[in-house]
Amino acid sequence: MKKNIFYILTVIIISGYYSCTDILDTTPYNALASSSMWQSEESVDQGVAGIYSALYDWAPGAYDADFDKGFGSTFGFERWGVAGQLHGAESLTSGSINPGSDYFKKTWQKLYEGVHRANDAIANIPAKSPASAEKNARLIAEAKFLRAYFYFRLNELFGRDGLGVPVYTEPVAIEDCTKGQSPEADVWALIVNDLTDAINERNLPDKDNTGRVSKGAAYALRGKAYLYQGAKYAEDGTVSKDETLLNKAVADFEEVGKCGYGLFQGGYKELFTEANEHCAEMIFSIQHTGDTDYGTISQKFVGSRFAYSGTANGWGNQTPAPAGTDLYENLDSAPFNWDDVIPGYSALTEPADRAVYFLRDTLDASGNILKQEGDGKLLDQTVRKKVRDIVNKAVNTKNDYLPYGNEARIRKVYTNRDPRLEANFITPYAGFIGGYSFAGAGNAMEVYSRWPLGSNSAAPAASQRADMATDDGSNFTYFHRKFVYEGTGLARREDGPLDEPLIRYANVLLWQAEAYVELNQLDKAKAMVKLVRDRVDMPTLDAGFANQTIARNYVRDERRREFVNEGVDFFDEMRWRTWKEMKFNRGKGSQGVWGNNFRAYTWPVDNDLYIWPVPQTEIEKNPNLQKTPGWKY
Amino acid sequence: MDNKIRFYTPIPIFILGVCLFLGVIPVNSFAAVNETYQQAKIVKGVVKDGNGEPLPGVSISIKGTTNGTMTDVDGNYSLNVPDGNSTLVVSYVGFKTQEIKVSNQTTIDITLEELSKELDEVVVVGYGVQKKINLTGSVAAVQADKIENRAAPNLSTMLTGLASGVSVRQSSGNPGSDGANIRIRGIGTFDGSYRSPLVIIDGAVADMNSVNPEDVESVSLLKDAASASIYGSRGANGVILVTTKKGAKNAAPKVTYTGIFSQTKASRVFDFISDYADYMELYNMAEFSNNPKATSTYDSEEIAAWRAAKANPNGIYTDPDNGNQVPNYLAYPNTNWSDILFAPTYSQKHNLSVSGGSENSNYLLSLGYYDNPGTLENTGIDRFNARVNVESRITKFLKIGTQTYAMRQRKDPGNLDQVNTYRFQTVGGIVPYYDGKYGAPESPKEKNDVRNPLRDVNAIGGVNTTTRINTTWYAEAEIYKGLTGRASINYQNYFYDSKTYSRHLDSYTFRKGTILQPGTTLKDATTTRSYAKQEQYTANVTLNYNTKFAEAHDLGAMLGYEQFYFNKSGVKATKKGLLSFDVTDITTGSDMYEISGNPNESEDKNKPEMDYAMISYFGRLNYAYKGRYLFEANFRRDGSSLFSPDNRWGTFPSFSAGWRVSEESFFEPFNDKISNLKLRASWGRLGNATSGYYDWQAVYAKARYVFNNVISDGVAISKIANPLLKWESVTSKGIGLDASFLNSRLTAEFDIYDRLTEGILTSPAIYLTMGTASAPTKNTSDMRNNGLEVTLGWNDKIGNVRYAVSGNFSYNQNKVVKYLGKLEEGWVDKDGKRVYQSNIGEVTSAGSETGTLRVEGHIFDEYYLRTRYHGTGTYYNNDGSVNPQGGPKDGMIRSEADLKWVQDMIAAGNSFNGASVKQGEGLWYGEYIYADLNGDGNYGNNYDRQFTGKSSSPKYNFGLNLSAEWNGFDISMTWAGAGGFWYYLRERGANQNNLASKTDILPLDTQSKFYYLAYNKETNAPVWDDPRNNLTAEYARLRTGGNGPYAANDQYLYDATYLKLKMLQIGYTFPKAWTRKAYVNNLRIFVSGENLLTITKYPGVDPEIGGGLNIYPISRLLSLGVNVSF
Repeated sequence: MKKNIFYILTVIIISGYYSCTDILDTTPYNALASSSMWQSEESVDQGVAGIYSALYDWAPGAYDADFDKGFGSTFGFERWGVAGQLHGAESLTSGSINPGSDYFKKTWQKLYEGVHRANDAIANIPAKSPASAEKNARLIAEAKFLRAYFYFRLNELFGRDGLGVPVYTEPVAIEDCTKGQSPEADVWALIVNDLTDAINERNLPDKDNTGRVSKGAAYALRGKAYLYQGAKYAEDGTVSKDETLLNKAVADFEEVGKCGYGLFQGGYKELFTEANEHCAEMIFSIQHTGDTDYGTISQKFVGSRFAYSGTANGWGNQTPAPAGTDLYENLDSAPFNWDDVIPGYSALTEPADRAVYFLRDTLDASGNILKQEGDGKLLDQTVRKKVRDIVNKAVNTKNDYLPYGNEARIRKVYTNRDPRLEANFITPYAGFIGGYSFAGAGNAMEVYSRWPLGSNSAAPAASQRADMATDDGSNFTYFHRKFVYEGTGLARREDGPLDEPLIRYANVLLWQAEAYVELNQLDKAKAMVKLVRDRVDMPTLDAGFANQTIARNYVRDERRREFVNEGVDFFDEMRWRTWKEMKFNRGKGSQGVWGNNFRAYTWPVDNDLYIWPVPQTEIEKNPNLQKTPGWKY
Repeated sequence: MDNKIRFYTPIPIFILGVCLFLGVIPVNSFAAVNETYQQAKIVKGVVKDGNGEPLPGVSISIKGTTNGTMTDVDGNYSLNVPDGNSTLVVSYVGFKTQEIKVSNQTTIDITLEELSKELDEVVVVGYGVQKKINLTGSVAAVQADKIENRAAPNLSTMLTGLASGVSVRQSSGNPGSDGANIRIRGIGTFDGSYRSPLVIIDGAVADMNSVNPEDVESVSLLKDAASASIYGSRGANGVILVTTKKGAKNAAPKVTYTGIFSQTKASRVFDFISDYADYMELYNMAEFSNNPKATSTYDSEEIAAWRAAKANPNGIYTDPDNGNQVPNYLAYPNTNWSDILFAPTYSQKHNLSVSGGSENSNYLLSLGYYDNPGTLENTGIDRFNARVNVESRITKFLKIGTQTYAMRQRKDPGNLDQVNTYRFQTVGGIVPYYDGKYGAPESPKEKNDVRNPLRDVNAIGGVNTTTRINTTWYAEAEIYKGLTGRASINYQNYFYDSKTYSRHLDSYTFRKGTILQPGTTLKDATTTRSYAKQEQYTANVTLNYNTKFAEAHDLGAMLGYEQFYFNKSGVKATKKGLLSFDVTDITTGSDMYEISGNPNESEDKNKPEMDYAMISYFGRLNYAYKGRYLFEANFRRDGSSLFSPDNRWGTFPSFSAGWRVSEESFFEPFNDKISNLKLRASWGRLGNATSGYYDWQAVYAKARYVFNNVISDGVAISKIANPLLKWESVTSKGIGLDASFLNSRLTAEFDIYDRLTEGILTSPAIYLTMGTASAPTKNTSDMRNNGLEVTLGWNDKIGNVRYAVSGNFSYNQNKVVKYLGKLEEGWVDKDGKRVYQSNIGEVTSAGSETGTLRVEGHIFDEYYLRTRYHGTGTYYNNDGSVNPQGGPKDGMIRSEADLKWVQDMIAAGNSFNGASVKQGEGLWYGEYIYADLNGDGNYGNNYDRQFTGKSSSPKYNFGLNLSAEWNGFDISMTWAGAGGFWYYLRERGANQNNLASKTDILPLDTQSKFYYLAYNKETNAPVWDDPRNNLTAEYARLRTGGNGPYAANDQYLYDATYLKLKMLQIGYTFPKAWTRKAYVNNLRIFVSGENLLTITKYPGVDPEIGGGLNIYPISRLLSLGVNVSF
């Protein structure tokens, strides 16, 4: 009997063991096992799309040290450009930044993420991919372009002045991720190499309108790499040049047009619509749709309280800076001057004096209290009181407020200007078709940028026209129009369908212009700039190209006007070493429309903002890394 | 591998097990049948207890055979006996077994002698039962009488205060989510989701709160490794075994009904300012305090009008715009939102059960209904449940049975997130609900979008339905003498089905009678349907062998095999745009809005299907010599899918021993005083699998992208794999002592333990240069808990009054033994300069806003805070220089001299963490300054924080149970509490001095709580004699704006020690003599209260739930109940 029992036991245990241990081999339902990766054509396509995916969301977030909310990859940098600002405080401009900041950590980390994804593809596709040789070759070329793009961003932010960044060109294990910086020039060489490989790849198409890398994009980026090395600017305005490289840059920029790219002629404002996001001007852009998690978050952070966004309103954390709007010339290309419209305006140093000109009307033409739109009631008495308070605070301009006609006078400032001004910004007393969605009422409504805000700016009745406001409504600012969605079509403020352009043809033309300026071929530079200005019917005058210095500044201003809210200017100002002057010395802070500072900027004493520091924790972990000179660790 | 195959493998195992048992049965079953039925005769009689009460259900069998019977309700029995030589064995739980020789008798009346209970007390342990007296591990048992007839919402909350070493704290009052967090012997690991004990219901892992408490027979809490290691890798946090009731053998059907009706009311809420005029005035003051030149938000006419209206609530308000007329109480509301949101309501519970049995079968059927509308609207639940427990002996040697349970719960879909956010951002000047309409702000000065939280919680319609099935089937066979086998399979299915949709709720201004905040439009309305499913099975086979040899040696052995598989998945779909607010089916939605995975998973959008599996072998060996020396060994070997094939198997042994000193001959002289004295000691090892389901594997996860306006997702490595991942290992050691004195009237239990968790899983940060893929999870850290537990009980009788008192107390000390390295800080000489250095950033994980830090050598997540500056108040030295020790005595700048001292300090080169003297956000009257603990001249920078020795986990837990009975009356109460824990509280509405945004709620005692100083509006000079001033207040100045110079400091750390009267019940049982006439066997009525009283100094809402104000309060239940059985 005992034998019997022993036998039974053995049978149970052994049968259990052998028949069933494979239930322990579970695998995730939402991921591919690494063993099957790169082995099928689908997984190869997905692996390469994964590199593109690293283009998403690497710009800083809406709040200081809040990176994960995803500010998109382009307009997140706009706040540091001449025409942008953040409503709240942030350490980079307040002077309190240090190498431990999330700005540096997350940017560094996210760009290297792109590098590693590209390395994975470049290493594994030739070895494993079952796709055709032609397809493999094209995908590797795409991966190399993307790797070059990520290293470009790393090098221009963290690798300046010869320092460079660590270079990894193959998949790496954690314990081997301990390299020190390769010199800046070596990183540029890698970038040029990768782009040259892409350009030389027969299977990479000249032009693409689906969002993938093309030869034209590779030429444009390589030209930019040459330009960056060909002209190096110092803070005192001196330029060191390498004409060979500048000529190479020009040659590459010429090739972009030959690949089939060109300026979109259907209107500047229309260029930034879904219909035209794959037009011939868009050489390379980050691709979006309005599906959950696939769109840009511009509506939430750049749109106002009245930028409709499905179930909740926009916030307006990021607004345009007045310094950017002043750059837009009059229609005849003469520089804009406040004194032409409001005599003596520029001499007013007290913001309280200037404020008077921006106030709303309180009386109608016949001298009666103004009625509100929509409900026909008298203008809110709180608004009238606020107007009186502001007028009373003025010292020199108390008598300049026009109860009727104040709005018309300030409107003159914004009329007869470069049309890009109104296309890029919502200026005072201009309308915007938004929608109020806070309590769920989804009606499109025209709202106005006005000051002071009426009580209807928080929650207007359906029939009222509301006053636009930022999230806290405490300052009168400009608002962005570019990349802000009108009407009530947007399902979610987190998911705007518009692509984010990284390189468009106007950009190539103006780079080329810059190269010509540095080569002192000013006529050619003018011709390039003219192409861009002709689209908006702005004359291009010889005066702008009178000598090299004037031309250099003119091309720069043209860039500042053209690329608002595309996250371009910050990188330009850093490269030109004009950031401190333009942003801190002139701008001084985040400002309301009349130049009132509500958030002061301070250039730090101990740290050099012209180069971003290797993140503190990375220095602590990896002793092979050199601390970034100019930063206090 | 294919899931279907995974799922069906256990059934063959079960069937195989049953067949194996069946296969051996014939061998025995025919062996012993022969000798019965010779000179048969019938013996009859009555069995009574010492008081002469008849005992039903007493087992009477003939020694040496399996023949037997049971007494009926009146204690009568009748039995065929083979001959006069037969001996009757009369046994009954709780009574001494008697053996009676039949001889010539035909009527044998028997009086059973009551046992001192403890000798016979049996407790459920892992895969079996054991006599309590023979236990060598630490097990606390709770019997049905503590659980039956309770109004409390679920089983877990009923365990409060009943067992030592067990912390039971209810986490919320939200119906359906109001279970308790149970911690046995402290916090075992870092990750909060892996600290709960394993709960086994009738042999299978299950959700404790899914069981109907009225069905529960007993609950065992296995506290140490000796008792829990039979559950191996899942027992690290202790094990709770729940056993459900069974029908009695040979018993007539017993029908029991229990009904409880309760008034449900929030036990504790926080009071905010509801008087809107007061609010406006205080807001203006706060604004003024921040910037005297700012225009006041609320004008004085408005405030005056509001006050006047309050004095005359029924006066008529006429709107200047449209002439609408309403009474003042609608035009000028002063709403107390705490009372409105958490309003009293009524709940009820009904339970009906039938149980009984025959010779070979027994059964229990039960049905339950529970309805709790919740104190917050639109959050209620109702629940039906049903249970069938049936067991039948189908052959002499084989029993089969089932325990099957089904439950269906419906919950209202109220949007708690919205309420939780906005109830702290609303004002009293809103009518909550009147005449079918929700109110909006009445004052035209108020922000129009201030929300009505009552509307928010009701703005979503629909129902969330949860259905559970939990069914176990088992077969038990006696294979050979002393050897039994058991095969069982448990299947559980949890199904969640939710349909929700937007409701159109407008908010009105009653003054105008018009809509101010329009509800959702049809275009924007959404409709959502979601499902989630969890399935699991557990199949196991065990063999049990018990024998006794040479009279002195008791030997027991158990071997088992178990297989477990769990899978969860779900889908959620939302459409936008409805045809009508009355037609809400998802098919009528117009636009596809969103589809995502499992709706029951947390915020993570990545909610895919997930599964895991385990295979286990386990065994136990018990040996006792003369009932004096007890030894036990357990082992378990687990294989888990959570780890790589190379690391997935782990072995978890335990050893324990007991010495019953009272059985020794030398102890005899003491036996009349000390009836039982046992020493216990144990050592064991357990595992805790705290990683995600697939953390060891390298995988490529979805990476979003779009080409050509079409979603074209890519993949990328999302988490770096660690194939070396393995279990966290817990080593637990303990010694204990059990004793009973004075004829078991006094009992005592004493335990001390040491519990060391090693290899706690963390994800240490990796190089940023590695990219964004998550760092691999690794076994890195160690943590220790040690403590002691005491339980004392006393029960006795005074005259007709039986009473019992039992108290338990436990102390636990927690320490992180190994983490990122030693904390080293201090002054060092560097290049000839004295420099303060600290490696705090490297050896701690990022601290939270409330100032906790995780670091080696300290309590887990210990508070690490600044302290307030304390000076002498003399300000200057004799030479006129500023004296750093001379500042304000309690660290608040209250006077001109204080402020001047601060200015002079800064001028002398000191710093107050970089803050400057200025009115808005700077150092100013009514702001704090902090102590410079490291002496670097910077007052209150990061280096001035210090460890407090305090954390939010209780060091002490205590409970007290009292009960008494007299002439049918009974009373019982349970007190429970916890101590030695602290919460950091600085929240709007409680004690936060600054109103960060307009309409932030203010506490009722705002005026006396916060510092206030008035200013001259023109000159900005302080007005020191303004009547509104409060210069001696405890908290910083009332103002608008940001946090200013505030930094987390120990002033806001509060002792959360509490003691609660969790339960008080008074009942009366009608005399059986009366009730029998109505064929009622038992009739008891009772009144009870749950959560009646809380004693605490903690200033937040409820220290049991947690620190903050943002909670759904626990309910106080006042109940009336009846219990009747036939």
